[in-house]
Amino acid sequence: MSDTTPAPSRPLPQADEISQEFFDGAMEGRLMLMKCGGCGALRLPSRRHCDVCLSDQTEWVQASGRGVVRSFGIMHQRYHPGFQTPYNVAFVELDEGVRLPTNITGIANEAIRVGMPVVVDWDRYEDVALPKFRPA
Amino acid sequence: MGGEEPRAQMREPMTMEMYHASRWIVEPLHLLDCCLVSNGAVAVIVSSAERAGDMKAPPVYVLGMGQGHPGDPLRAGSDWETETGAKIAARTVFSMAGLGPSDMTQLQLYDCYTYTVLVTLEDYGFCAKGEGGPFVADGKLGPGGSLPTNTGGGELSGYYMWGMTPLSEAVIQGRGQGGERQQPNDYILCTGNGGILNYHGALILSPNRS
Ligand SMILES: [Zn+2]
Repeated sequence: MSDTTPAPSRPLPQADEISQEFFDGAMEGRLMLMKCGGCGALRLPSRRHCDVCLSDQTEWVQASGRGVVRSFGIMHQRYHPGFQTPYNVAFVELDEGVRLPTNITGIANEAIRVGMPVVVDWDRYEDVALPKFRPA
Repeated sequence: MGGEEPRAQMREPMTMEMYHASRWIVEPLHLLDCCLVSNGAVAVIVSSAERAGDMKAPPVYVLGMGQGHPGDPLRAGSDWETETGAKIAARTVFSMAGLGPSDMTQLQLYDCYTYTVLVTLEDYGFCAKGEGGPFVADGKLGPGGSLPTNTGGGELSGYYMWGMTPLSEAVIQGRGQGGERQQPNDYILCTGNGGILNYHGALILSPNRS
């Protein structure tokens, strides 16, 4: 009678050694950023060495979760069966000054604008949470 | 503009209607804003000017080269989407050749997307930042225009062989072997991008040694 084939699930990121604190924080609703212990520059995505001073010293700081839409596009090409098109992909520039690739939620794609203030909106799965952003 | 290049994949003349009717890939880019998928190979022989003179094919001389690799720090203050390594490469390539944008007689630009051509024209100083669209609207990049560009159709209409697409056409044009699509070739600016505009290389080529 009905189509019982389950919709293919979306691939989800897995934490590694370098990103563990980011994903641990995300599960608790905290947007965590890696900060260079040498020069203070934020590293996003997290990585072993600083691209400014090459230091491997790090600490983690909690971001405000606030930012603005820096740029965006609307994906119409379907690259994976788990993603329904169209969907948006955006770069959000956090108040802390780093840019995060993400999706904008809670608003029609046509209404997204560059410069729009946004706030983090967690997309929660069983083992992982992803920072999406909605209009502030 | 691939119509006069017999090896071009897209040889049917394109109308604005066809362009707008082509499906979205990533809005604001239509299918016809995006480069082709091609199988092929290109080889270029680089030699000293002395040796090149003894070879069968007419030589094309390198008058200047430049590179710019700004990377994308993913931080506030970076204009990665609107300024490319071409801005850095332009200074080197023009000063080495002792030439400027107004001296160029044709362009072979890396055109992975239509937008890439506009941002490259701006970064080389052919027009002001943000003016690329109005700058090309009169058709000056077309055959017989004041700045013929991507005469073999480029990566959008010809074939996508990475930076070898503009380079191969630059060599063909520099040798004067463009046939029906041959354009004035005194100074050919040839550019390539890589790594989502993180890397950029430039050559000024000419059939004349200086
Ligand atoms: Zn550092």
